[in-house]
Amino acid sequence: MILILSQENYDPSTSDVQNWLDYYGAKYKRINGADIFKDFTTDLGNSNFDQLIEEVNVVWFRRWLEFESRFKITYEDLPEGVLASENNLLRLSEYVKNETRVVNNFFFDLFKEKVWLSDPRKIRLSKLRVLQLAKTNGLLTPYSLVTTSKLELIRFKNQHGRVISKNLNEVQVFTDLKSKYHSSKTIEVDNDFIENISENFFPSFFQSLIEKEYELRVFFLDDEFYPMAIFSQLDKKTKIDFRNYNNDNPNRCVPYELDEKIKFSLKKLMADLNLKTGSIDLIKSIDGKYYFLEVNPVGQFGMTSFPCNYKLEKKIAEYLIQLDKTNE
Amino acid sequence: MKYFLLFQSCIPVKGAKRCTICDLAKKDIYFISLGLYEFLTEFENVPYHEILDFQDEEVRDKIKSEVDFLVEKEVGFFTSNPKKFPRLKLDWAYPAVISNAIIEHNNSSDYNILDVIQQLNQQGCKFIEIRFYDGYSLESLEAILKQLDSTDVNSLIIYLKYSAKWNRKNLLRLLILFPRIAHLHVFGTQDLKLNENEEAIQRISFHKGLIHDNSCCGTIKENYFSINFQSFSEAQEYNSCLNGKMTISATGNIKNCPSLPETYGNVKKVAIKNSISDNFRKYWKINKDQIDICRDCEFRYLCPDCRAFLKDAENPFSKPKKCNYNPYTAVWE
Ligand code: SF4
Ligand code: SF4
Repeated sequence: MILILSQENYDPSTSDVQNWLDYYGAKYKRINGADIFKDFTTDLGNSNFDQLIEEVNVVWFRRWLEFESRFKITYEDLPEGVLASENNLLRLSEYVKNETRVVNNFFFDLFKEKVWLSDPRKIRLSKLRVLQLAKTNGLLTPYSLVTTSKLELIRFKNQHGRVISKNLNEVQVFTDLKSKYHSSKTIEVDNDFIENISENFFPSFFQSLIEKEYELRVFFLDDEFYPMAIFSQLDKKTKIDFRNYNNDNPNRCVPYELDEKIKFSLKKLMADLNLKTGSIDLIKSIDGKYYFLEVNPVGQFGMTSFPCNYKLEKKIAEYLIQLDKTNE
Repeated sequence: MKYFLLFQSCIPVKGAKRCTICDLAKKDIYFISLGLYEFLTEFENVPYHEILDFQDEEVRDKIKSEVDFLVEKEVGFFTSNPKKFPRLKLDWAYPAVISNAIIEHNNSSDYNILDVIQQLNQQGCKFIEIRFYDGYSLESLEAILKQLDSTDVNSLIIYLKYSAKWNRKNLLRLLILFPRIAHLHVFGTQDLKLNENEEAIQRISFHKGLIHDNSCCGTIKENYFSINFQSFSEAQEYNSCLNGKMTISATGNIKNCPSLPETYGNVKKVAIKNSISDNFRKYWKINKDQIDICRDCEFRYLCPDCRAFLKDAENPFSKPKKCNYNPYTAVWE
């Protein structure tokens, strides 16, 4: 049996894979993160998932606790006698987060003998480590700098020209009064920006800005590449970060052919990172070079699959069925 | 060396008189000349300036201005690496044996609707249209809809003859309770002004006339064209109306479409899955490239088809009767 781990909402790609699993008559079960927080018992020997553990051969991890359903901690949750302060609220959130992590990991470990496609215990990659590994595997990367110093930033900028700043880890989303989302996006660090920052700041990540001809988003599965070119430079709004979608005029997303040399390096990188699947971002610069940016171990494959007709949903379903059979 | 390419989701289609570029990503159509079509499809691997050099001045200017237009519309682009941009594959696949169905029902129907829906769903069907030609009680309808929670039928279109017993609230309640009703058409009544629930009123409409049967089906008009990848790729090989379609008639007969004569057993006696024979699928692969006149039409992969009402009833490959487009003159007549 195939076990799918995901979240209840905002994961249409997984449902698309399930449609193919249904079509092929495959046996599978989907558990969403929130389910575990409603029904889970273990005496550290047995658990209410014993039957399932016996049947499952392969686990596919997609998502787990969604942003909306992560435990919302309010002042009312503070224990009696405790000061209703912001500090205490943060402490309680941190506490619940840590408790949650133990539950999650214990649950994932129940299936540790199984074959995993994306393993939640291995996908917390450090962007910096990945960049180092990309380089050692022969990929070109933008010049990178992590610093707390304005002086160092200026020196870096003088050396490399235009500079951007991006997240060290994942994008964080914030809401405003109207519940509109604001996310921590990639921005260009220009002279105006530098003028307005203090001498010392939170350790931040800078890279030289690569003037791009187009971006590449490459889905990787079972040693195969499914590359897509994104022509975001046609449109000013998406020039720095194509996640600044422009809905009136969507970027052109088209199938692409990768060089053998790049494929070779990417395969070695994915092997080093222990990833059987993932979504890789590259830039093709206007001077004709390929720059590696990052890899997302549980990437959205729908956005590559549909515009390029790669039928990734079908291929993933077939791959899971094959893994299920060979690991019975 | 620069080459001019179309973005691969913009696909040129040749017609007898003119050609289209079907932009499947932005869901738009552009008309281009036959000359430009040839330039785009036959000289893909020839640098742009070489192509221009071969032409006399008049043609050159014409190509240039059409290409400028395509670049401005972001339909095409210049690149020095044309080999890096492989064609978009147009193979079609969908995870269902039956992808869409029509269920007809009248006062003398005596088959089990719920069972039929569940059987269709087992064949992967998520899109179902139910037509209650003589009306139906809202209580019974609600009882059926409740049972569908265990299925993944996620889009129901319901045609329902109006009954004076209902008021606006009854109908709205149904829509609010069951988001899987994509649209409810109530016929045989004036517009009942509904304004309580913004979302739900988008999903209901009222029609004065009565609907007795399928005779108004099969009309081909420009605004029925679907410009999207799924139907465009399906139309390359399959029939754009009947592929994956099943109809259950009011008497329970299993059919391709309400207006086609063939029946393949009755749901009261045969399981739906056993009725999907090669014979049942015989219309599925009649595509527009095989149909007279349509094969010369620049709309052929966007256009719905109809195999029930034909220009020439004797010829299964003749053009849909209710289309009045002439691809040889490029005029809707
Ligand atoms: S074949 Fe014609 S009549 Fe039948 S469903 Fe299709 S369009 Fe309608
Ligand atoms: S000629 Fe054929 S393809 Fe063209 S619009 Fe009419 S029915 Fe459609």
